[in-house]
Order: sequence, then C-alpha cells, then structure tokens
Amino acid sequence: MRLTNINKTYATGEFTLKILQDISLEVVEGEFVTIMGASGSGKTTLLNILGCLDRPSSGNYFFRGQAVESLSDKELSLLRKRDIGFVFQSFNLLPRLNARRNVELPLIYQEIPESRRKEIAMQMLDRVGLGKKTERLPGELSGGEQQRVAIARALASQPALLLADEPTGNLDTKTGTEIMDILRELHQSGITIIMVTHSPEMSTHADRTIIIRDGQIVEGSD
Amino acid sequence: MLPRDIIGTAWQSLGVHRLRTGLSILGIVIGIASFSIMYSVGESAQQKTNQAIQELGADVIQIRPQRSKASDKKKPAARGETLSLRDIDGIKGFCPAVSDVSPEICDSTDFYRHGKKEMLNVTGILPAYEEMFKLQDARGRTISELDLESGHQVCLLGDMAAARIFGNKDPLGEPLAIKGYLFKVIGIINDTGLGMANVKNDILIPLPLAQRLFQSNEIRTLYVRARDTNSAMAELERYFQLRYGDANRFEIRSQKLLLQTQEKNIKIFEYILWTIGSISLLVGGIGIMNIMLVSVTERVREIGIRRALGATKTEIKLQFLCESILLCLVGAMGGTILGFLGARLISYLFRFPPVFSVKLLIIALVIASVLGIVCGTYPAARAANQDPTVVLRYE
Repeated sequence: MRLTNINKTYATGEFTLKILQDISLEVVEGEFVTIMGASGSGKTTLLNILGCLDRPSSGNYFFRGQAVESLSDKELSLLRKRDIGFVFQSFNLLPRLNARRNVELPLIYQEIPESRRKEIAMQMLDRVGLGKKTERLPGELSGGEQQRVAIARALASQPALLLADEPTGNLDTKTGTEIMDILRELHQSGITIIMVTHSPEMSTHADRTIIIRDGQIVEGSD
Repeated sequence: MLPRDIIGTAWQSLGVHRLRTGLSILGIVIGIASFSIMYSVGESAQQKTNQAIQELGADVIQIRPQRSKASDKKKPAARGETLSLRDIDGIKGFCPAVSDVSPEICDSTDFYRHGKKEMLNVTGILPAYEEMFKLQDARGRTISELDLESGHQVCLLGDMAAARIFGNKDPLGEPLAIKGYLFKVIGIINDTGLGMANVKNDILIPLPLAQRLFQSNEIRTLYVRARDTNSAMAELERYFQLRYGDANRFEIRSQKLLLQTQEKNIKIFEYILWTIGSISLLVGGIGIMNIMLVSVTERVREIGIRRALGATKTEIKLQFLCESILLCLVGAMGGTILGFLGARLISYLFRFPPVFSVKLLIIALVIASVLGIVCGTYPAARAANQDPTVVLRYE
C-alpha cells in the first residue's frame, strides 16, 4: 500500500481548508501500524482515504498495485467489500439487526447465498468469543461485545486490510485490552492492521507508529 | 446484492415506523379505492344497461303530452291536447315501423297501514304493456284479455308496493281496496329496474277500470315498440304533426335515449371518482416522496455503514427505490380491499350486480409500482449520493 503526495482540501466558502498536506506513506502487507495525533490533525481523513471511502484532492494511492484514484465507484465498492474491513469507535452496528445479521451484511453485498452467509457469520462470531450470543440485538450487548460483533463483521469477507478507528475509545480499560488482544491475534494470523488512536499505550502493540500533526506526518512515514 | 436481499432489506426497514408508514400510504389507499369503485361500478352499470337493452329492448319509445311550464302541471290539459285510446289504432295504422302500442293511465291513491299514510301509484294497463316490459314472469298471474272483457277487479303489485301494503304477509289472493273498490291481488312483479317501466311501487289494474276509477279518459303515456327505432321516431313525429298539428306538443323518447342518459349519469359519477382518485394518488405520491426523504435523512449513518461494507451507490439506490415501491404496493392492496368494500356497498344501495376482477387488482398494482418508481427515484438518488465518510465521524 503506497501513498504519495496526498493532499486533501475542503472548500468552505472563501477559505480552503487543508486537511492533509503532502502525505507519503507506505504500509507493507502484514504490518500493524498505528496513526496517532491530536483531534483535528487529519488522521480520520487519512483513514477515510485509506479505506477508499473518500478520494484525495491530489496525489496517488496504490492499493495492492491498483491506482485507487482511477477506479469507479463500483470498483471502489468492490475493493471495500473484498479487501478492507472497518472497525469504528462507535461500533456502527445496525440496531435493528441481530449480531449474526450484522456480521452477514458485507456478505449480502457479495451475493453469497443465505445458508453460506449464516455459516460464515457463526464462524466469525465464534472466533471473537460471541458464539452463544449470535441472535442478540446490539442493544442487548455490552460495549465490548458490540465491538466484537463489529470485528467479526469486518472479518467476514476475509479482508487483507483492517482499518480500526479508535476501536477502544468507547470502552473501559479492561474491555479495551480484550479488544486489543483480539486485534493482535488477527495481526499474528497475517492481517494488515492500520489503527487510529490517541492513546500511546495502545500504540505499543504496533510495529510502527505514525504521528500526524496539522495534516502532515511528523514521524514514522517509512 | 441478490434481488431477494434487496426486497427483504426494504421490507424490514418499512416495519420500523408502522404508524408513520401507514399514514403515509393513506393517499394511495384512497386513490386506488376510488379507481376500484369507479371501475367496478362502471363495469356493472354497463352490464346492467346491456342486460336492460336485451330484456326490454332498446326499441321501446315513450310518448307523453309535453308540459311546457311548471305552472301547467296541475291544470288539466285542454281537449285535443292529450293522448286518447284512438291514438293506439291511429299509430298502428299510420306507422309501419311500429309493431305494438301500449297505453298507460296513471294516478295515485292513499293507503293507511298501521295508521300511517302511504301514497302509491295506480296504473291502468293493457296486456300489451305486460308483454312489452316482460312482466309475464310475475309471481301469480298477470292481467289477461279475459280480465278486461269480463271486467274482473284484479290487480298486480310491484314488489315494493306489496311490501308497503301487506308487510310480510303474502298478498297473493288477498283483497285490496282502491278508491273504495275491492280488487283481488293476482300477481307480484319483481323489480324490472333500469328502463322506462319501473313498477316497483306501482299497483297495476286493467285500463278500462282505471278510466272509470279516475273518471278520466286521458292517456298519460303511450309506449310503442318499434321494429326500427329511428324510422319509428320519424313516423311518430309525422303522425302527431298531422293528427294534432304540432308534434312538439308531445314528448317522444326512446328507451335507447333514456339508457344513454343513464349512461351519461354514470359517466359523471365516474369522472368524479376519477378526479378524487387522481388527486389522491398525486397527494399520496407526494406523501411517499416526503416520507422517503425523511427516511434518507434519518438513515445517513446506516447508508454510510452499508457503503463502508461494500454497497455500491446503485445498491443503495435500489434499496430505497424498492422501499418506495413496496410502500405503494401495500397502499394499493389496502386500496383494493377498501374499493372492494365500497363497491359492495354501492352495488347494495343501487342494486347493481357487483363486479370484481383480477384485472382490476393487477391494474392497481401496476399503477402503484409506477408511482413508487416515480416518487422513489429522487429520494433514492439522494440516498445513494450520501457521503459515506459520515461513519467515521463520532456521534
């Protein structure tokens, strides 16, 4: 994964807001990278671009050899559902669907038949230690459990890259550590993980820490 | 995304706000109900008209003295201005296109039943009348030539008249006093319905007796059966021109014209329902669009999550479009059911045979689908173009 000279600007009225400036970054497969920075430093925007949810204003992004900026919306969606898994700070589970159906969501967009979908979802929930709570609604689960469901969902399509945005930010220290253990385990099984955090202790788990300040990388770009 | 999953997902989303969903489809329900009722009533009226033409024949012509002013109504017509029995033979002789002529004398009389006054029409007729209006299938028997020759004091009752005079009692063979003379009830006629001879509320007695009872030789109405309506109308006009010097003094109307008037009335009713239906559908469609737009705004996060998990813009668009179509289809089902009940009520009130068809349901569903697509396209496009990065913003 290689980013070269990425810029992201937003036009708000007469001002042009520079969120990211001249970001160049390379992440190799199998790495565990954390991105640190104060709020407003642009780390979330960087994650959006890495996750193909947003496009850079200028610069090049190569994802597994593909030039992302030349891809259509459909191709970007394909990339997201096949190769990228998301874990969010606020879990982002659909509240009306039970744990299993939430995990099935990315598989629905891959047109995997229902019986196979269910099988994979059960497997993934089992993997994050929720094999017994598959039919619970998100509201009936604790924060830590919800984040486990979200991780199971991110893993369902067996992605190469897992993007985590402050995955422990809404959790107490104990459950946060549990979630980190799961992520480390996943890393050991070969998944590339890029995690945004502002807690230095979380970044100790990582191979490398990138520090962003005012839209620029100040440390750890290579 | 598999079609099954698109529909399943849409259906699930509709179940969330049941009350809101129900209210938003009301316009569609009323619109489709109007169309169903219109279709059903129009179709059944058409059937009834066709049946009436078949039964009575479109070839019956009615002739009445013209009353030009409302104030003349009470005034007895001057000599020579009314029809008389002589006109029967006159018309038969003069008009080759006429096959039969039947006179009618009409007056009303009061009855007392349980101390309550009831007014009923008493109509004097000849057996030709019964034949012309197919009254032969009465319960009991009809007035015959023999009754006329022997001066039998007998009468036929329309079914409503029978109910009003006798209640639940079987009137057949019962005596009935009309203007102080005793008549014997020999037959009951069931409703002949649409057409000129509506005898539901009538008492029919032999014509000569009616003339004596009412002390009048005035013929109120002549009914003529034509071999060919158009030439018979022309011949009748010429007859009255020659005989009375002015054909305009008589009103000559054919059953065909009468049925046309009735059809016109039904058409007006249909136009009203068309208008109600169209406006309701329009308003209903706007309601659907509105609720879909609200739904898109509420579900920005859900859209973002789905996009992050790999949904394409097209898949998001299809999901919302499908929701809109499903909404309209549910509305159409409700409307068809309501229309079914409404049509039943109307057919009960106006004695139409009820008409229902699968075709109607299919038409309703097609209209609803089109409406769903039309009203759902814009909200769906908005949903598809929502910024997916919203998922990475904290609540």
